[in-house]
Amino acid sequence: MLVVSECEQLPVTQARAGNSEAWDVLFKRYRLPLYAYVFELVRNEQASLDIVQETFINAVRHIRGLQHDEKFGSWLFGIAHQKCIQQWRRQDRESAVREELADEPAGGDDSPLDLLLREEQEAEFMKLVSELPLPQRSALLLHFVEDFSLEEIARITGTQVGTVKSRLHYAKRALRKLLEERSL
Amino acid sequence: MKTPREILLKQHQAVDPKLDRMWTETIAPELLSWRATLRRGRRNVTDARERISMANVLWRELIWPCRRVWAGVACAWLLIIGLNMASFERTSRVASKTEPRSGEDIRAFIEQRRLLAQLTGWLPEPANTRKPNPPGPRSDRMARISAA
Repeated sequence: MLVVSECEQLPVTQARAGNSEAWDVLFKRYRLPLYAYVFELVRNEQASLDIVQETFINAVRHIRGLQHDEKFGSWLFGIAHQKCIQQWRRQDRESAVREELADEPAGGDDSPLDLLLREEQEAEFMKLVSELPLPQRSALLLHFVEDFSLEEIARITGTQVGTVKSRLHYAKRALRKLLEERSL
Repeated sequence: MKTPREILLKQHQAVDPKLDRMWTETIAPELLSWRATLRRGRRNVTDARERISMANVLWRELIWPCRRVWAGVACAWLLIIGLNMASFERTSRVASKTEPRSGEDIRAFIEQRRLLAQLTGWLPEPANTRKPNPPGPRSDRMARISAA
């Protein structure tokens, strides 16, 4: 399984120079995580594919503006997040869910790998993820899919680190509750 | 046991062929056109750099070593241009101020000249006062031509 520490080996410098093989590597590395993230936010296959496509096209056009190679992943997810916001605005739905949550002390900064799920819990997990309010869902997905740090998630979603902490706390608490209920 | 990441990615694996098609149909051609733009941009940058470096060489080799001489020449030129402009302004002002001479002035001038000529005994021959010979009769002209 690919993890974030591999980012340092990604050929971002070559991609900036226009190397198509480097772009192929980057596309293969990020296409599915990016699609999963976008799909879980917009819940529409065609719209998700369009957003992934637009994200990569934007990335190709603007990679020269990227200052730090190691931030390529969060930069790419940031573009996709902005596209999702545009999609929400277009659809003008779920707007009530996108209200800011009050900051609350965070539960614990555990890694996404700490949480392991049994096969029968997979469907429940996906259902729960889809039921979470959008801000929490977004933070949780970024945490799970790419193991982004709180600062990176805050940058991608354009919020404060405290807000991200709070959202993750709520999302994880809901998830744990579900798992406990199931395991009893 | 699986991690949430594994579950999420597994859930969406079916879309992989569509993503592959996206690469070949849209992103790869976009990348090609972007590379072409990049190359054009690089060429323009190189041209601009060459121009700048030529100007740099000119400055370093030609102007900077004898900067005092160039400065002196420039000052001299500025002075010349300034003086020229000032004199042009003055003459144009004088010319615009002078009025056309009246007939009385001209008559007085001719009178003075006549008196001077009488006193000195020298009478300047008026320029072009002699009238050109009137053409002779046509028969004479014909005789001259036949003789030639």
